[in-house]
Amino acid sequence: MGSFGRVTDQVISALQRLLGDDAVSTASSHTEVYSRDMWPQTLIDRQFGKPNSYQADVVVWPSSVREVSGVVRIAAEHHVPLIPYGGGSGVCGGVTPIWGGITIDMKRMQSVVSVDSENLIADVEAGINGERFERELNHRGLTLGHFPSSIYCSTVGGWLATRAAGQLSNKYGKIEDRTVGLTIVTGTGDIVETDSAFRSGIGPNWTQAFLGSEGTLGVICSARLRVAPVATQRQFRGFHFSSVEQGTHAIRSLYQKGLCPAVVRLYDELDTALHKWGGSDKDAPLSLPTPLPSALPSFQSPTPKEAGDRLRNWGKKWANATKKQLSELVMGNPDSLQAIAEPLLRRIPGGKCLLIVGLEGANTRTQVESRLVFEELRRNGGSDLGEEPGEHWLKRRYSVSYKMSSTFRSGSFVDTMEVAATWDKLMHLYNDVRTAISRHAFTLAHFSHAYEEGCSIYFTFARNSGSHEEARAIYKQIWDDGLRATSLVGGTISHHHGVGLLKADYMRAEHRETMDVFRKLKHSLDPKGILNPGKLGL
Amino acid sequence: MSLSTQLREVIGDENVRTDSQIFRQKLDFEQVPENAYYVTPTSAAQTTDIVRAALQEGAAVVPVGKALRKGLRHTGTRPTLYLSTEKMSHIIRLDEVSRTVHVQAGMKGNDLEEILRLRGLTLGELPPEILHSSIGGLISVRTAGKLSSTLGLFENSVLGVSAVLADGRMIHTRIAPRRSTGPDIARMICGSEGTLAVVTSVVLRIQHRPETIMPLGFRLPSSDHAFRAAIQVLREEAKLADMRIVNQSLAERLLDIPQQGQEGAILLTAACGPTDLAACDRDLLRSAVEIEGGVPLDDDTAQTWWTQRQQSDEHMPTPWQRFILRPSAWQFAGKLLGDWPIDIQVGSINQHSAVFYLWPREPSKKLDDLYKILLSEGAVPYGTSEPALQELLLAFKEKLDPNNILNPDSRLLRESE
Repeated sequence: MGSFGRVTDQVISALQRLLGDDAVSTASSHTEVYSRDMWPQTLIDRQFGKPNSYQADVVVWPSSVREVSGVVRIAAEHHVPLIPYGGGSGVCGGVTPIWGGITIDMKRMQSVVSVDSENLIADVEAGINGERFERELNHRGLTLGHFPSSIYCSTVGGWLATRAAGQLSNKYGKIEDRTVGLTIVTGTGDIVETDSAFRSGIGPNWTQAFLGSEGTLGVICSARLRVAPVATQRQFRGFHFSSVEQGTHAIRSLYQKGLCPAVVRLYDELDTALHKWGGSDKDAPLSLPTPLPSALPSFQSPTPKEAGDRLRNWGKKWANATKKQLSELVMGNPDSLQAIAEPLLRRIPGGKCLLIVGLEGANTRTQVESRLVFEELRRNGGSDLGEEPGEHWLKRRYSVSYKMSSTFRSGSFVDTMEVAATWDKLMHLYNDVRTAISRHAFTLAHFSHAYEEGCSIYFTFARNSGSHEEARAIYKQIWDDGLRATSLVGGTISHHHGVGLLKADYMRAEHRETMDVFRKLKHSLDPKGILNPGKLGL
Repeated sequence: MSLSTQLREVIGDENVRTDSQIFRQKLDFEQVPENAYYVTPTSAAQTTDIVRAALQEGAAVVPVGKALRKGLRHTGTRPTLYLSTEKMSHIIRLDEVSRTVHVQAGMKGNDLEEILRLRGLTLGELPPEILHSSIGGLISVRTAGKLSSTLGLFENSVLGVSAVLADGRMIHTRIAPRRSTGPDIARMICGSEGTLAVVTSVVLRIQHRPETIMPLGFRLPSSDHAFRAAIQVLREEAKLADMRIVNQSLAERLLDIPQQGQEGAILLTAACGPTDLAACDRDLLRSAVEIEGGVPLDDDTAQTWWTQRQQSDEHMPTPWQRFILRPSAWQFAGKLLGDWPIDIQVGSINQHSAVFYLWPREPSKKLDDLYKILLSEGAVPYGTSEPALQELLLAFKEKLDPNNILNPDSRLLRESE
């Protein structure tokens, strides 16, 4: 690795001959922008005014599969790295050109090739924006059912390359569950369609090989995706559970009984409390518990009353503070706030963890299933909060993705860690990862994307720091500790964000000896190793 | 040391067979090929040793089982170890919390299902006849019969595999409900028919046995009406187990469903799951059938069919043709086939496709023309391999198995014949 050829004038000329002058750019305004995504580490760099660590040499915009093939052949001939680029909404540095090279932006390939309403299959090019694709389907009375919070700024190709998940994945599946076949350009420039396994083919399932390959095995140019009629019935509700354990047990009970709500999200105590305190003044005040002896041995605890008062004050400040004040308040002392708040929150009688549940689909069945789902949640100890919390979440479900930049502007950093495990390990995963990362940052978590065999946990962590070096060091430590804890418990280091550069070093712990099979798969598809080098730990 | 001696040292005399009886019984070989051994390791470690011995001696390792017997051929150019996992037939771990089971590759599906049944669990609503195969065989070979209306391909139930690579190393793919950490190697090994690795154990998703099972049967005026009812109920999102449509003649012959009036179509299925949901699915189907002019069969008939099915007692002969067809072509195919003396079963029906099985009632030279028409309407024969994907497999195998010792004569690696 690292011994790649340079993007010479000869390479640029070849690209211009193939694509035309307007589809090839070496302007720094382009190469700079296309050298990063929304990876918080690069946002930290920018926060402190640091330039990109890496930069593409040239950006190209092909318009067809044949042009993509031509670009790959040029890259292979000159042994130049080639990095596919979608919406740039990734959070793992998957598009970072660590050896420079050609960044291939797929957004000129954004056609909906066909929508087959009878067979419920859509053929779509990889560069189409997710929201636009969904709207095109909606015009025909159909939906993909894939609603990542990045839907406004991500592409179908990006979803496929990272095995993305949408917010209603419990009903519609992750993107790999909706994929029938792909059109791929491999590292040799060959164009391959992988639909065979769906149709009737024998042999390995090649669609499953390219899904999640993050541009390391081939460039995804288009996909045949399963679509569904748009829902005619939708029912959302909120429930409270007394603990994370009780809430996760209820979720497991739902799915293992054959009930399948489209979305279930369980917020831990702290996340639930901040939801509440972060709301309007009309929200009812949180009642604090009867004081109990502190269980924290490691530092001088405030008395429960003092802690309760401080927590109330924090709550008020949370609602009233400016962003900068809020950031300083919470993220300057993440460990002490967390250490005080969590034990107290656990002592609140009843109603500490908010669960949002929603079903959608065909009218009759959704109504029947909703009734069964709500009954099951009540039977497992949930107290029904009615429709309002569910409807509230539904309205605001995309807004969280657009709060990152304001956090960074206020001098802090924020990121998310989405891990998953089977049910038998899930609470260990939750406790161990939270312990590992809350030492360094203010940490919240919610459980979502549930299956019969397990569930994903989405940790959100935030922290401020005084210097660039300190921020980078803390950021790295959080990921090191969090992913190490994940691997030790037996969870997976990524449920749906992918690996990119961020988690590349942890791929060995994730896959162990199977990494060698990955490498051989890559060598067979990309013999010169030009496709997105350094990603996925390859 | 000869290969034979090495093998006997590694796995014991009783697990290395060269007698004609075993080759006839297990592989349908009339004679024992030269330099051929039938080996039955009892553990993953022994499987590793066998593959290492084969690598050292330049022998081929051909995993065998019920599913892999078809198309098996012995080229006789190199020593060959026919490897059966029949003695690796234990459950390694049953996790009733996460609803997963880790099972050795040689365990028969029926045996596993029986153990699960006692605990109120199941592999899911699968075609019962496939459960005669071993779990390793089930995931290694993809056939039309392994499609489930509700679960899709059997391999969708695979969470992870342990397998021996051509260099004798073992891999264990990591278990997670879903992951976003690169390609799914477990799913790559599924369907590879032993060409990439020898599967020694598998982690499968399992399910709670349904609270209610309601077998359902309906008679409709024609296959056209039956297809419309099926599409309608699928659009209503009913989750029906093993929905299938058969023509009247086949229903009468195989399922003893008497003809009433003119030739029609029989729709059979079962509503399974939580009782209220199953009842909902039943009512949705009844409504769809009624709109199409259909009537319910009596409860006993549907129950008899379901019982026969569960006991793998349907005795369906090998079809003349089987192919996949998308819903947009179902009605055309139904009408076309209705004019021919052909028995039809349409199974694995879902919103995107169904598998058609055809049995001519009498021979005719024109049948080939009929089939050509179906192909021109989008029928895709089951068991085809795409040349471009075959090239990918060959390239990958070259990296993973440079000495080509794992199932080197597999149909997956041969040019279409």
